[in-house]
Amino acid sequence: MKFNYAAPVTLEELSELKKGGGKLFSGGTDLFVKMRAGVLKPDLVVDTKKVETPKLECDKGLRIYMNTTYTDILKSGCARKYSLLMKILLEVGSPQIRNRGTPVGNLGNASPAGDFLLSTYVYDSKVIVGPSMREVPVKNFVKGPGKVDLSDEEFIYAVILEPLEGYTTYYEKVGRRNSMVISIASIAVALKIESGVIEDARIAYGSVGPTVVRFTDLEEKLIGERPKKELFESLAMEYSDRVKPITDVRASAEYRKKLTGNLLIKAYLNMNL
Amino acid sequence: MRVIGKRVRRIDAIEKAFGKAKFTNDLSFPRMLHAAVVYPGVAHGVLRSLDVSEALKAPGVVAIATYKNVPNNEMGIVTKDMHVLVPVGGKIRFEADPIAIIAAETREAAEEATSLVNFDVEELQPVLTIDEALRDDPIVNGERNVAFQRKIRRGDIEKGFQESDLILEMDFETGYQEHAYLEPQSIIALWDGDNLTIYGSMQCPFYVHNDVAEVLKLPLNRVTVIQMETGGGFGGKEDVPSYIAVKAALLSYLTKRPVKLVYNRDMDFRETSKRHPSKSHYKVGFTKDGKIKAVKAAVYLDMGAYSTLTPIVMYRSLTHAASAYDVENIFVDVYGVYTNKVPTGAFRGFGSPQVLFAMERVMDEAAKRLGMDPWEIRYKNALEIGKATATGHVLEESVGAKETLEIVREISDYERLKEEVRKFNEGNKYKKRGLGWAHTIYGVSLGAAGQPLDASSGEVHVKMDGTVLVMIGGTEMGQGAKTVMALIVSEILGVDVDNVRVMQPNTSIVQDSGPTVASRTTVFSGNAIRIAAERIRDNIIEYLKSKGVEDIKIENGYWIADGKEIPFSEIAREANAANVKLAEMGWFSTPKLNFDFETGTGEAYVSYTFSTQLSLVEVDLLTGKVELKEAWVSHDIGKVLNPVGAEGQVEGGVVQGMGYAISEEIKHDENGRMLTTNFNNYIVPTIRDIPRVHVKFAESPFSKGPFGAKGLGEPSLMSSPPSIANAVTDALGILINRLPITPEEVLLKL
Repeated sequence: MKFNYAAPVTLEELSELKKGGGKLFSGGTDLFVKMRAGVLKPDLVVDTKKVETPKLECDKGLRIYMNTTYTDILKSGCARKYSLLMKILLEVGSPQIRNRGTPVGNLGNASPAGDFLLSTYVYDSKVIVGPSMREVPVKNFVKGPGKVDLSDEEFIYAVILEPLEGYTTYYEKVGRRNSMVISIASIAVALKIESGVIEDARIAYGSVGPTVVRFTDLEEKLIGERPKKELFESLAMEYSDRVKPITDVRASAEYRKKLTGNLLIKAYLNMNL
Repeated sequence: MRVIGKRVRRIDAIEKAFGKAKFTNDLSFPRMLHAAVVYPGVAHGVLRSLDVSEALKAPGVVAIATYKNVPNNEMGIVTKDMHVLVPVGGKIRFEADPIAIIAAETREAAEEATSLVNFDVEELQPVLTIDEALRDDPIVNGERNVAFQRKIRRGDIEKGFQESDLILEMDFETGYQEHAYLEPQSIIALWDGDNLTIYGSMQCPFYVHNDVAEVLKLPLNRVTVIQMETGGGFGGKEDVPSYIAVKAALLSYLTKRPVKLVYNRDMDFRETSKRHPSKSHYKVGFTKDGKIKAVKAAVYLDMGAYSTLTPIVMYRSLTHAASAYDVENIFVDVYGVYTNKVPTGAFRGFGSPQVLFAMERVMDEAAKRLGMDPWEIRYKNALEIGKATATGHVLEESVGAKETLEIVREISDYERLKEEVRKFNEGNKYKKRGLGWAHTIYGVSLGAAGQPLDASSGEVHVKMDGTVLVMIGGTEMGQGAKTVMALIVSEILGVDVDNVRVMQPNTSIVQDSGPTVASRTTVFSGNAIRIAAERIRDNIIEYLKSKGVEDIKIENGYWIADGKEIPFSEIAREANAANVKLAEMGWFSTPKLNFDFETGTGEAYVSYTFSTQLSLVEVDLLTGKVELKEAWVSHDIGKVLNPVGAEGQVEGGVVQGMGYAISEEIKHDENGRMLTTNFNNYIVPTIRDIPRVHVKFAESPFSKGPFGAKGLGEPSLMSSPPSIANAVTDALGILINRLPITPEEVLLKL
């Protein structure tokens, strides 16, 4: 396997190299796996780590920049209030992978099983696309498995997560083991309850469709309701019917459909509403 | 005992923990080439043409070997049913059946050239399951797909069923298991025109020695095999390193340059052996008070494209088919079946986990039907001195079977535990817990079917500074063999454990000692070393007595001669100066076992390890996930020589057995190509999956074992899968008769 390597130091150089067909990487935890498996055979790989960018900013939402690793976030004090994100990041791979892998890379990879990607849907995140620094909501940014809204010269500069204040959250990733595993299905839920009534509901699933899925019409059915088990049980059935998962080496579509509903019931039971 | 049975740190711990130990891939030689293997990627077909001319022109490529270059292209352990390299006109029988091997200046150059080898395959319908194979259309190999059979015919099976009050008939299935050793297959071969030297990761240097000499038609005294530090074996490095070594050796033979062949994980998954998938049918008769009257079983093992070790694996399936119980009437058939998949072979347990799982599930179902506790039905049928195993081997000593059952019942506080589980299940709608027992037997060493290999050599050299060099034919692959050897020498000679060095086995120094398999190293290499060390001790005592010393005591690190403490180093220096013989060889073999292969009856093994496990599982009814939360285990391994190592073996065995039971699964596509060729989709447990394991040994000494020891390497795994399956059945009330227990299967069955 022979290929060229470039390590730009400015965003302009980075953009030029990407325009010329370079594949970007920071930790390489996705790119090199694909290259080793022969899925990608780039002529040029572009290491983004020499580009100086901030790590994290917490004042206006949580801004996560390119080259910021999962470990950077987990160790940072100011990100701690994003408790759902913290739960999700702790389930990413292993300590070694979290030391190298980056949320921005996970977003760019746009796998429906992406752990960080799941969180961005619940935090109503926006993607800052360089070099123009245009902002795109994540749900518009991700177009399908491995497909994102980036032109040849564009790259992900940062992602902004809006805080969830006063929300109760739940996260679960189902895999055949408890770490170092790609999810068979995953769920992230955030509910805001005021005076016993649901005011806002965000329910996102990973690995049960071509991208992370949220069905806002189903979420709306919860708004204004009291969190009762029957309500979640019937909603679980609707989610189960609605999702269109695939059968792959990890599990069958039938199992994933059943899990989809069951995970919502588990979320309800574990949130102690 | 000074060091035997004491908690001692393993002698190779520091060098391994700090990365100093030398593995094959750490070695390099001047002018060394790197090899790559060309696979057809087709599961079944006839190789019609093969053209390497384009690949030979690729930059860096030095040589390419095809069938035309192999001096003796026929291989096979029991039958010669495979090729080193598939010839043109010959059959390809699985996707990774090698057709050519390439040597190049770099690994990358060799790997890139593999895609430049041109070949045509006339594809045939692949045979992918045991059921398909039984139809014999098409034939995979030889004359029939069911190529081997072994049987037990003991007692009167029909009379046994007539005397039974309860007859259970059950079907079972088990899947593959990959060894998942940390270090993949690795070999370096150096042919200098006269002599061939092989360095490699392996369990059985003497197998490699014989196989390489046979393929290259070289005399054995011109071939030296040196085992390097080996990063795990679990059976996967029993015969397989021979197949890797012949490839590297052939390329070295053709180029007269050193050749390194290190497999990547994908190659290792696709080409090298696995645990046999199985299907079995059991019919077992019980009296109403739970006594087993008759066991009838038909067991099919999927041996893949080539038979390799299967006929020997089948011997173990056969002899362990009735588990650890006293049964008079037994009728067992075990069949080996060819399919167009990776050849299966040795894996920790060697054909016994499949049948122990089946029989232990039958025991639980019988207990349920008869209203007995699963512990009680096992205790009632457990073996004791004077009773006979499934093959009719009357046990004369070292039977701690019942003791292991008693220990586990006690350390788990079973009655209280049952009550806790009952309460948990009452209070939880979506999570259920269950308890499952397993009580198993394991024949130590190769047994009657492997007796020609069942002898071992060991040499002990005491140097004049009092340090000791030990040479054995058994290998250290992570299981702790070196530490056990050092403990034995230390105990006998009074030398500090730290002053004993155990060398890597070298076939030109040590006589053929058989394979490092079958949980035999402690007994065989251990006894050989014991004999050698005792001889040296006696030589020194004789010398001291000749000098007029009357009272001699041996302590740890020094000797006491007539009340005077003398460091061992000083004793060694003095004895050496007096020309005392300080180098001895020990040779150990066991008396011939009487076994009738026609009826499958007689003395199957020299001794047996007995094991009991109780598992506590929790099943998530919303995801179907099974979690092994806690396990209580007891093994009768005779005298425990190294408690730290023994406990580690048990913990590792429980976890590897758990992987087999609940998470590990090999899948193929409809054309017979493996889909799970890496650890992202072949799921072995991680540190976050492992349960609490409580271990307490029963020590029923074996008179022929060193200090009374038996074997533990394999039995530590076998109690785990059935006890987990029984626990899941207990938790859910659904029958778990298939391994692995996937969350998918559990959820869809609920």
